[in-house]
Amino acid sequence: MSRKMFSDEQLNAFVDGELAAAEREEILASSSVDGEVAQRLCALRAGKDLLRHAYDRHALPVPARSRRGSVWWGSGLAAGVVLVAGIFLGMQMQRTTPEQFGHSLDWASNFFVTQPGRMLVHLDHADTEHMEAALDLVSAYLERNANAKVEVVVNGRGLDLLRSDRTLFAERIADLQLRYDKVAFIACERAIARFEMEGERVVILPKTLRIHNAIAHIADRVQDGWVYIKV
Amino acid sequence: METKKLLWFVSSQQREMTRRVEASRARVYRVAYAWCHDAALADDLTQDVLARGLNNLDQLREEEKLTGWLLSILHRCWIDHLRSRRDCESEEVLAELPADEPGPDAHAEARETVRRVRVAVGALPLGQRQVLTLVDLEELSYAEVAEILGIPIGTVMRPGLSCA
Repeated sequence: MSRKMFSDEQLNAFVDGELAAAEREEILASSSVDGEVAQRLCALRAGKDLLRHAYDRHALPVPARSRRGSVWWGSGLAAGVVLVAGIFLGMQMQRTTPEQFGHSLDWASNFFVTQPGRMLVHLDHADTEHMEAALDLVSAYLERNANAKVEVVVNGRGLDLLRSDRTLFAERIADLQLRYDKVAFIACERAIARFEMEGERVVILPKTLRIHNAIAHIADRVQDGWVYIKV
Repeated sequence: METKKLLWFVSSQQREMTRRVEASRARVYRVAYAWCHDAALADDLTQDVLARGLNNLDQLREEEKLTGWLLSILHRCWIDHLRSRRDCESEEVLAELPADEPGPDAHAEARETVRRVRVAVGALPLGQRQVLTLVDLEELSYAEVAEILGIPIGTVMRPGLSCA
């Protein structure tokens, strides 16, 4: 009575349900009479279980880097970028050309960048001109750095930028998302919840990401060296 | 009237897909973590994947393939990340994971087991690690895994994790 030897790959494929019927039957038959095959199959299944346990969704470490806003509000860097945003807005109000806008962006990027190609624009109020300026900023930046990562994070009344019923910029936002791979529009869930509690019906644009807490997220990004512009 | 109905349908479908993309966050994070054993990096990669996924939703032909599609984006983001870190080192070297691994808070013995499993996974070469996690954690078929990683299906056959 010869013993059929099965490779590790075959037994794995069996446990993964990837074998054709004939081969599957062969291994099944073998495992009922051959203790070693049965043991190997058992060990493979146990290995799978162990792996799932080791990476159980509820046991994975989460990034330990949620910092509260107060830690960085006082930093010189934050003050600096708010100043820069003010300059941008001033130029925007005077109808600066995209060319000039772009040059100032380069200047600002050189001044602040610790990691190139990562910018976060933060909007927390519902002024239309500021919204337009924010989108102009994003467009100009991406035009010069198509591969850059850009996040537009809104909270408070800035949420209006991403509300279907209130935004004037739905098409422009959709266009940016179509053209650039790494631009993300992000709404703060706490802000959404607050307005809904006050009785408003909040409908967010499709393709919008959500985060639980905008300020904590922004703090993380700044900590990671993202350029931060508050508009 | 027809156009309006169609637009409504398209936009509600888009909302549904957006919701499904966002709902995939935990799954994408788990695979990302299993590949890099770095919670912060896994979080960043996941964010990138979801943003790219949302922006390119129109490219997704079959909605049932959403998870596989997101995981193939993750694979590309992960490789891009490895390549961007250093030009002189190979991806294999960069993908090596640290031998020490803090376990979750739990009974000491269970924690030790988890640690040993993760160390074993970390010791696997990158490609094998990816195949193992996609087949065993995400329970994807060999065909799906081959598509996600862009490899021939024959190379998906692999020895499993040996339980010492």
